[in-house]
Amino acid sequence: MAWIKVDAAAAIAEGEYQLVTTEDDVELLIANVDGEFHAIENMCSHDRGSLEGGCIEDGEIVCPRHGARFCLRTGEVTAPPAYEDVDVYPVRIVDGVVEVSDEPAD
Amino acid sequence: MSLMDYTDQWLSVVQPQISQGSSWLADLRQGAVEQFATQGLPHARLENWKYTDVKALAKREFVLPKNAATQADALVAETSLALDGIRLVFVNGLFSAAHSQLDALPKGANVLPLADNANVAKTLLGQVAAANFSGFTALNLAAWQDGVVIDLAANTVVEMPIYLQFVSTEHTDACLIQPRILIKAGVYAQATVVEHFAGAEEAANFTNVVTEVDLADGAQITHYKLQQESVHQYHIASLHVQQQRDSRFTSHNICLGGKLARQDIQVELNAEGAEVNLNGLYLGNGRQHLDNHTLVNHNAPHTNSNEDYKGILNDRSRGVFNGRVVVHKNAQKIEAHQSNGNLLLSDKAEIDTKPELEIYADDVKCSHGSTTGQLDENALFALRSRGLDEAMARGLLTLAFANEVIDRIEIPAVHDRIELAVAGRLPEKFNLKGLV
Repeated sequence: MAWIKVDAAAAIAEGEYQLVTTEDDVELLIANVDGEFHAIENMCSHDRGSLEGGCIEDGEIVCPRHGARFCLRTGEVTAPPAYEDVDVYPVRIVDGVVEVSDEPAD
Repeated sequence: MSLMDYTDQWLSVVQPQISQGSSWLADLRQGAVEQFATQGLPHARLENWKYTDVKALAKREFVLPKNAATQADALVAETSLALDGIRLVFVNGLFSAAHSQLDALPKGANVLPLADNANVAKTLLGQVAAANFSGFTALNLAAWQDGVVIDLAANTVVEMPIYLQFVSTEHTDACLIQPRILIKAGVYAQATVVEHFAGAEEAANFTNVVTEVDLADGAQITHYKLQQESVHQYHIASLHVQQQRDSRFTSHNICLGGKLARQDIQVELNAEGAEVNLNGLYLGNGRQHLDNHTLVNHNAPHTNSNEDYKGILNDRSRGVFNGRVVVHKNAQKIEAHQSNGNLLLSDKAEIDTKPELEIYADDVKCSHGSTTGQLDENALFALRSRGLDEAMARGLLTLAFANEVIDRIEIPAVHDRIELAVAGRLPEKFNLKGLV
């Protein structure tokens, strides 16, 4: 397992997110939810499209196409038309820099 | 950024190659450049690419390969199949005369490296594979660097397999490898062609290969595609076949390697009596993404197609199978059978399978089906009751599933290599490599 540097924690404002891609070509969305950082695979399990462009509401990311929702903390799906959870990835902050694991949380 | 935004970046990589060749070739390449500029790389909104996202590939930077044949002796020897006879070796897509052997050819058979013999291929290049098939096909036509032309005169029978070995080496800068393979079989000609892609374990190149096959009346070609590239490699391939009366094409497509691998097969059955057999196996581990798309067009009456693809997916790997058969209006009395079976060895593995049958004629015999499941608990119990431990029992059942495809392979050297490779790639807890 390796850690990928994302950005300075201060650079990702509350309610905002950034994207990084792992060596395995998995695109991750790293979001700041009320000062806590969470990483989720940037893929809606409904149509495999990107979640980029969706807004964050109540700790959930809303898919910009059909409105499916995923909990940013657990990856759990909370609204149709998606029915499968997506992977979440461990996040840590080292010296004010957000880092994300390249392996999903179990 | 959309995928179209990367089009210029890709064109600048291949720019030095576009003007290569005589004027007819330069014109052909220029047409393909324009096609690629219009089409770009395929995006997930296209139905055919819905399950395979090439965005990560599009973002990567590649360079055109330079000749590295002299440093690849060990790798060529290590990855080679034990086949006697005609052999053409390509290191990073470029022909290596030192490793190749072309002297066992019978009269009437012309097998040549493409770069130095492009004029021989003037009437073949781009005739079966349309440049607009996908952005990758256009990119290949615009900037292929080398490849093979196999031209068999009428009634020529090549007994020995024609072995095309493609070796991918490790580089600081990942290479864009674009081979072009052209096969033309005259009336009643017969041959077996083995395309084998392998390489260094750390190789992270991108192979974009296009194969065109043209079969005249009564011709028979057996085509093996064994893809064993590293798990860091990207591999996009398309095989285009057109068949005339009473011709037979048999494809064995074994897909084991690649981080992202996609194989398209498109077959046109253009005259009565033409028959195609498509046999395929894909085995994914880790985070591999393996996609197989096949399309068979029954354009004439009394044509036959048989297709059997099997997939084994472990860890977080993803498989895609899309098998489309189109029976056109005048294609009466045809027979088309298709099946796809998938074995999921882990909860996180995924398969998207879509058999499609479109029938516009009214007197045909067709079947298609797809299954996805886990190992049969009753079969497991039966093996365990005979004293096998669980890991061994699971391994044997998985290998037996794969063997339904592997056992159709008629060349012993290819059969054994594939069986060994499959046994060695099963989950570590039931690795059967020592047993086969």
